[in-house]
Amino acid sequence: MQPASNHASQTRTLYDITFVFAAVIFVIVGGLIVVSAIKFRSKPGDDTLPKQIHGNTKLEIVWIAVPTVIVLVLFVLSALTLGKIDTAEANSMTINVTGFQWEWKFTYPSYTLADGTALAITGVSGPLDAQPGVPASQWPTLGLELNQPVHFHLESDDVIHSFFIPVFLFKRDVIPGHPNDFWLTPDRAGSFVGKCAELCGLYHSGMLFNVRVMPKAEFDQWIQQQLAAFQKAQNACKTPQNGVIQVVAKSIQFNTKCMQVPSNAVTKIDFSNEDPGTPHNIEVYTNSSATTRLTGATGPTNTIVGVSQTTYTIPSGLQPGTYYFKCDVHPGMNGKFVVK
Amino acid sequence: MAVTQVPTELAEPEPSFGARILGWMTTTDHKKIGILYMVTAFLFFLIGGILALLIRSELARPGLQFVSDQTYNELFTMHGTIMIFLFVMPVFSGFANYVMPLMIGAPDVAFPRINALSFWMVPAAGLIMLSGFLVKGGAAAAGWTSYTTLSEQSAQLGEHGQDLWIVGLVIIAAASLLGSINFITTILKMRAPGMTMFRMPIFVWNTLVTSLLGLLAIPVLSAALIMLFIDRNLGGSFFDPVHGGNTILWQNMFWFFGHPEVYILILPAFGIISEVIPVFSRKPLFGYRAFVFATLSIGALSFAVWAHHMFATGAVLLPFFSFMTFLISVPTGVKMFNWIATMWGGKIKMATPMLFSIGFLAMFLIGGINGAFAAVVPVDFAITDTYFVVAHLHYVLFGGSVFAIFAGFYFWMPKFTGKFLSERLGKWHFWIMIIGFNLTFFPMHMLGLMGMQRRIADYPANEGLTGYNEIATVGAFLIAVSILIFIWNFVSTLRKPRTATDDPWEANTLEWATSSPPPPQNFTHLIRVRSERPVFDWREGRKALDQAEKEMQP
Repeated sequence: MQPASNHASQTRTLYDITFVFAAVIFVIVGGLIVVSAIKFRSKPGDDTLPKQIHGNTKLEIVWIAVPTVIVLVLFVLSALTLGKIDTAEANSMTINVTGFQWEWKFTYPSYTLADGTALAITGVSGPLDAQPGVPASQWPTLGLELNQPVHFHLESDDVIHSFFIPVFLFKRDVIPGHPNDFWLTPDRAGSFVGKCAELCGLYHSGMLFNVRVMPKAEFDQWIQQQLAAFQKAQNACKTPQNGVIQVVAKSIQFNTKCMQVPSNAVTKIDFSNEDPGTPHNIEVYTNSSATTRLTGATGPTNTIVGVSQTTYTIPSGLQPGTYYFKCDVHPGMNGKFVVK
Repeated sequence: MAVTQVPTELAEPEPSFGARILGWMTTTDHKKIGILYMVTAFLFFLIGGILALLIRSELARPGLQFVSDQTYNELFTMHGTIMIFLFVMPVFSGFANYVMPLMIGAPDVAFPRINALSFWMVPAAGLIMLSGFLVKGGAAAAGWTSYTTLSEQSAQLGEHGQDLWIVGLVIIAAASLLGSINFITTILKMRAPGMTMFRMPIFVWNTLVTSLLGLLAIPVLSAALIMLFIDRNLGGSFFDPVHGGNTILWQNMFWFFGHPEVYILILPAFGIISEVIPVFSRKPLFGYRAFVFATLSIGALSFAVWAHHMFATGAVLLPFFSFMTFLISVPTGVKMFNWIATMWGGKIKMATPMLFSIGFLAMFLIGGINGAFAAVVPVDFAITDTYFVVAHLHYVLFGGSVFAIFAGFYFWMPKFTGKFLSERLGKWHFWIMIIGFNLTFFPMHMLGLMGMQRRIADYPANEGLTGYNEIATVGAFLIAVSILIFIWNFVSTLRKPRTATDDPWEANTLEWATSSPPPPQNFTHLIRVRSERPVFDWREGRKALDQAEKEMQP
C-alpha cells in the first residue's frame, strides 16, 4: 500500500523495519526447525539412545538475552514513531467526522453558509449488495487539501465504528460518548477509499466513503461546489399537498432535509419506512440538541420497523419558527422543520 | 516395552446399549469425562467448521451469493464463539481430564462429581447458544467480542439471540471456573509419592497455570456478561453512554479476560507439544526449569497486555501496553528455542504426533512473528481490525492450538483406546491440513495489508481482493477434506483390535506406566518417581538390568 500522508510514510518505514526483523527471525528459527527435523531423524534399526542433554545454562541465557534486546529495539523504534504520529499538528483544518449506522457525515467548521451553518457532506452508503446496490458515486466524499494538515474529530451517534483510510495506514475508533481526535497531512493527490473497520451491525461492509486529496486550487473549487449543493439542499423544503407531506426513509436517509408546514392548519405526515428490519421514526424537536420534543412521534420508543408505514399528525397552532426533526434511532437522519 | 499387561477385560457379560449410555451419562471417572469432553468438543468443532466454510464460500467472490448480511454476521459471531468456548477450551479440558491425573499418579481428580457437572454444563450451554439460530432475529451477530453498544441494540428490537449467547457463556464460564478449581486442587494435593512440583510433566504445569489464569480471568468475564444482560433486559446502562454508561468499559473487562483467555487456549497446546517432542526425539525436554518459569511468566504477563486489543480506541496508555506485549514474546521465544534444542541432537522418530508437533512449531512461529507487527503500535493502527489480524489469530489458534490438539490425539489415542490411529491416513491428514491451512490464512496477510477489514460480508470488486479470497476459500475446503480423512481414520481405528502395549511410544510420563486403556482406578501399582521422566527411568533401568543379567550368565 503506497502511503499517502506524512504519518503513513513513517508507519510504512516502521513496517519495513519490523518486516526485516521478522524475515531474519523467521529464516533463522524456521531454518533451525527444518534442519533439526531433517538432520536428526533416527536411522532405521538404530535403537540406541542419543546423548541425554537436559539443558545448557549459557545457551539459555543467550536465547533469553538476544530476543529481549530485539524487542527492546523494536519497542524504542515503535515508541519514537508513535510520538511523531500521535500528536497535534499546527495550522490544521478541522473536519468533524460523525459515524452512524451505516454512513458517514463530514462537517467542515471552517466553511459555512451565510447563516453560519457549517458545510456538512453526506451521501448514501450502507447495503453494498441491495438490488440495486449503492454505487461509489453516491458514497459521501471526504475532500482534503494536499499538504494541508487536517485535524479529524470523531464522534458516533449510535455504536462503535472505526474511521479507516487504508492509504493513510491509519484508523481510529469512532466511539459513542468518547470523542477521538487525530492529525495528519495528506501528501499524495488522488482518489481513495475509506471504510468502517469496526463491526457496526447489518451493513458494516457497505459503510464506505470516497476520499479525494486535491491540490489547493482544485480543493477550493470543490468546496465551493459542495457549499452550493449544501445550500440548495438546505433550502429545499417539502410542503404539504392537500394537507399531506410524504416522507420516505430508505437506506438510513430521509428523502428530505426540510419540511415546511402551515401554523394555521393540521398537516399529516405520511411516513413510509423502506428499510427492511430497521426501526425509524420522525420526531420533531425544538432544536438540534433534541432535548425538548415538539410533535411527531410520541417518543424514542415510538418507532416503526420497515417495511411499513405510519401517519403523524402535526397539529395546527404551532408557534411559527424553525425547528428540527430527526429519526430517534438514527440521529444522522435529520433536517429542518419550519412552521410558517 | 515389556510391562506386564493388566487384565482389563473382566469376564462379565457385555452391558446393554441402554446401560452403556446410562453409564456414560452418570460417570464420574475422569477418563470417561475426558472422552466426553473431547467428543463433544469435536462435534462443536465440526459445527464451527461448517460455519467457517459458509463464511469462506460467501467471501470467495464480491457480492452476496449465499447468505444475507444479517446471516453473515451471525455466522462469524458463532464461528468464533464456538471455536473458542465450545471447541478449544473443552477439548483441552478433555485432555487435562484424561491425562493429567494419570501423569501425577492420582486415581481421579479431586472432585469427581463436580467434574461431571462442569462437563455437562458445556453441551447445555452450547445448545442454548446455538438455539439463537431459531429465535426471532437470529443468533448473536455482534462478533465473538460482542462490543457494546452494538451488542445492546438488538434488545430494543425484541431480538434475543444475543441473550442466549450471554446465558450460554455465563454457564461455560461457571463450568470453566469449577474445572479450574478442580484441576488446581488435584495437582496441588493428589500427586503420587515422589512427584514433586519440579518433577511434574510440563503438560501438568501448563494445566496448572491455565487453571490459575481461568480462576483469575473468568470471573471478570462473568461480571461483564451479567452487566451486559442487565443493560439489555433490565434497564441498566453500564455500557450505554447516552444514559451515563461507558462503552469502553466493556472492552476493558472483556479483554482483561480475553487476553489471559488467549493463553488459556495456547498453554495446554504448549504442554502437549512439550510431551510429544521429547518422546519422539528420544531426549529429555531441553531446559525443563526454564520452561516452567517461562510458563509462569507468560501467565503473569498475560494480565498486563489486555489493552493491546484496544490501541485504536484512543482510550489506553499505548507505550505501557506495547512494552508489556513485546515483553511477553520473550518467554514464548524461550519455549520455541527449548523445543528446537530438544530435537537437536536427538534421534527423531517421525510418527504422526511428531509430524503435527513440527507443524505446530512452524505455524506457531509465523503466528508469533506476525503478532509482533501488531505490537508495533503505529503499524497496529494500520492493520488492526483487518484480515492481517485474522491471519495472526488463526496462525496462533489453528496453527498453534489445533495442530497441538491433533498431535496430542494421535499421541494418546493408544492410551485412550488401546488402538493406534493409522499412520498412513494420519500423514495424509497432516499434509493436506497444513497445505490447506496455509492456503487459507497466509493470503489473509496480504488482504489485511491491502485494507480489507474484518467481519465484512462483502467487499468492492475493484480493490483487487478477489484473487486472494478465492485462494483462501480453496484452502478452507482442503482443511475440510483433511478433517474428513481424520474422521475416517478415527472411525476405522475404533473397529480394529487392541494392539497397544502399556508404553508403545517409549514415553516418559506416568500415564504410560499403566495399561492401555487404564483400569478404572488408573494404577494397580505405581513405579517410583525420581525425575521428571519416571517411565524412562524405569524402562532404561530395566533394560540395563536385563543386560547385566545376560552378562552374568555363564
